[in-house]
Amino acid sequence: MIDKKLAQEILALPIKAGADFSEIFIERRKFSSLSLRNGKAYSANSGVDMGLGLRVICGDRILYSYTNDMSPSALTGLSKDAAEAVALKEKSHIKDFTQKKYESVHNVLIPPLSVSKSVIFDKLRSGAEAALGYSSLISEVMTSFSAYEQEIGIYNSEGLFTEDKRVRTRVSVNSVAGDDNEKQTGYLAPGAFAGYEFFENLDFDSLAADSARSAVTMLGAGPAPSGRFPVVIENGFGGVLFHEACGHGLEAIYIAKNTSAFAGRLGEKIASDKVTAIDDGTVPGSWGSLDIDDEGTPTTKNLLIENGVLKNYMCDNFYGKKLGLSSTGACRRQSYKFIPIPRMTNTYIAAGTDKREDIISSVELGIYCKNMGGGSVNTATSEFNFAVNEAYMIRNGKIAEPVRGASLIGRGSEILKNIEMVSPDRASACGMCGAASGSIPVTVGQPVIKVSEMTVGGRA
Amino acid sequence: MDMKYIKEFKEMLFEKALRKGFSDCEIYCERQKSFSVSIFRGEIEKFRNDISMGVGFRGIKDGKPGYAYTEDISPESADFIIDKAYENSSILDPDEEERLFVTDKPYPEVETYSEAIESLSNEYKTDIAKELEKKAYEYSEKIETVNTTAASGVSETYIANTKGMELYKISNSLMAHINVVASDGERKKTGSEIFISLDPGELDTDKLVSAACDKAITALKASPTESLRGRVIFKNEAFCSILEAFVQNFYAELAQKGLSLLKGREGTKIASELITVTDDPLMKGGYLSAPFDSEGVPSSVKTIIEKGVLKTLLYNLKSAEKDGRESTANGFRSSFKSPVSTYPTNFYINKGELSFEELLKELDTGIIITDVSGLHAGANPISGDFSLLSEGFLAEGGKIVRPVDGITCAGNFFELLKNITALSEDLKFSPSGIGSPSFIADGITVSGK
Repeated sequence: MIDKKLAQEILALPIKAGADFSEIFIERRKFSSLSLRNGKAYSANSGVDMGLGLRVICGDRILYSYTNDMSPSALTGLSKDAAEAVALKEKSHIKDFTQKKYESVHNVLIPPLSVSKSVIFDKLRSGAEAALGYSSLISEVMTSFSAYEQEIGIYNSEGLFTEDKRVRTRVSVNSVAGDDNEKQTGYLAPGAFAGYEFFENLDFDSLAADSARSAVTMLGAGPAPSGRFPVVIENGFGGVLFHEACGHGLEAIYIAKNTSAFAGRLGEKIASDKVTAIDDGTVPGSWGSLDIDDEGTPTTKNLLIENGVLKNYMCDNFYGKKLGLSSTGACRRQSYKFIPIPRMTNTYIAAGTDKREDIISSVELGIYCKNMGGGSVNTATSEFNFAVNEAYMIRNGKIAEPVRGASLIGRGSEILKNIEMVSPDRASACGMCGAASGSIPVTVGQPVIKVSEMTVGGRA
Repeated sequence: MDMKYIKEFKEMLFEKALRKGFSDCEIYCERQKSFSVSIFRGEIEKFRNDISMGVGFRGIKDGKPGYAYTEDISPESADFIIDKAYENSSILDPDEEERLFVTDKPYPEVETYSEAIESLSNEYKTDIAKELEKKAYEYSEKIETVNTTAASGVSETYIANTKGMELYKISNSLMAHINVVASDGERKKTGSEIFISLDPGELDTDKLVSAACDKAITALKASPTESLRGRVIFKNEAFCSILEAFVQNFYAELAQKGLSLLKGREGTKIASELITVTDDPLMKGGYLSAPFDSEGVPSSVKTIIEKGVLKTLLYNLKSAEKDGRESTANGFRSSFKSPVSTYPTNFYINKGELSFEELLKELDTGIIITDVSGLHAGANPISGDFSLLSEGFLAEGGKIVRPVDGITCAGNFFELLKNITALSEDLKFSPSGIGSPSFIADGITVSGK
């Protein structure tokens, strides 16, 4: 995407001034979106993102600058500024580029930007009608489509040159049930590392109707109780529990800085025997997957926890090196505007052996969480919180009435030890994860799990 | 901003757009330049020096808007965004006609730019971050890890349309941030503080350090309380976060779509008589002060709630037209990439008369919520329900007796507004321009042990 000679010139200036490593991340991304309200198109957008980020590492220091003025003078100017900020040490030189090519495991069939918005519109409208038709209590349905085609190039002072293309397509439906005094929502948003074919093959009408069902169910629900209860969490998006409670704390940046409750604990038992957890960036077609990460390392299937024992962290080159560990291909950034750091890709708790029926029937009085909302964590303390969008009471071993407004809180380090039962039927769901290197696509996943006791914050 | 370059691009874009069949069009151009330096263990850990620029295009065809944007300011991209904007416009099915804006009325003067900040050297900013870090480690041996950042940024906006409007604004600020982890050997707790200002002279590093450190150290001794339902104090900063999560209910655009429970409530009582809310884009030193919004409408100060009565919602040009009234100049784009939507400016609950100590006496016994987290998940902006992981203090007999954590506070935003019984004078703004004083609210559920 830029002339190799120019790339070499940009990389060389900081190295000559004494830096250990320099890297160019160049990106051009085409974006398209369409949103409907009750079947009528109300927002449509398209655009081009383009720019270059220069990362320079000098000892423990990271210098990062970006620009979208791609003129040779502006780019070498960026590099000169970075060189000036590097303290003079012994001089070094950069290696010639060897291009690395990787076969993509993803099979993108229809570039989403090539599809007419009127075709996308028809399918979004059909979904909106399905949700509106589900019940007369549905007052509002938002359906939307968004997709991008991102081309990146990475050049670094160690001679790496590689390119990649990421194509992602996602749709969402948000149904609102209620009147002017009370409203409840049901939200579903699947996506994939894929082109338009993902939407074409999706039964969007059923998905839309299911979001309407969730909203209507919650409309009749009483408030969730508050206090300590056993909690059963459904498979799929329930994996957000692990993502927040533990996943972030296993990112090498927090380990290297000693701001994670899991720092220095490799080989220790940090979870119950039932817990095996994996971050796998290689899953074909999955929303959180990548062929190579954002510093050019191929992604891997990374075993994080095996039968409760901490086996590995999620590492990039910079923070991995500080810990004496190899990159696991987990270095990610939202765009050229962000310094890349170790992040999650597709993260999940592996399948167990406890039957779903046995899990429910083991609870005398507790909460069953069918649909989770988002959450957040303070990695230093491992205190997390997340919302439950669709919850039910469990009474005498049976799923009983729906309850609303529940949130779950706790400490990751404690909750992992309290995972008592894990079912065999694992499922995944996609989301956007926000952290220092921006908002990136990830999937979360798990089978049905039972946590022996958690604090439930409801209003009753 | 290289105005000559941008104006040439504008001329080319407008010419291509009119030829394509748009009847009117607009260019919204943003340029941001920022510098930041982060310190970790006495050394520069992160050093950033960024420039970004982008163009948002809006063309009008048959009364419908067509949006597209680009960061690549080239003739090829101009063709791409005009084609895509045209397609986007043809698919839309809006209820009302979209119009571009021009006015003869004068624009207000607002102080948003400081030469003093522009003249600060990178070394000066680096020293601020180093000083904050050093002072934090010296503050207490319980302080285990410190991260500090100093930054400055300048943002320019240029808007022009085929109706003859042409506007430019520039703003800058200085920012200092500290984040500390305190440890007693067993537990860890974090504390952070942020400073943002147009006046470098206002920076008090001692104050910033002690606030962040005290917060983390105090919280080390925290534990959950028994669950209870009743009166709590929301500390100013904690309620800023909650207000921010629910502020969209004041957008006329969302009310018209049936997505706000404040729909049709203008002129009625929606809050306690103690509550007056203002949206003030002209505030000196306000984080979101601006002479005009992203549609070029001149800014003015608005009273949103007066003694509990809802006076007006926030309008952009389109939502105003729909309700047959004037825009309140709240038609903002979140960036050049985004279509015009509705956003508040400096939006705050006016302060009361009590000092915080008097508020505490008034509470007598109960929980003080000082920090809430997980708002993107634990607050439902449409229903008003919230249930949030919280920290704070337990008060007995008008005195703080111990810190509290591992609790949630839950309630409903709309009910809370009505149940405010006492208001402090300690108005404080969050970095996103939302302000609140501390106050007592009834009917809140606290879940603990």
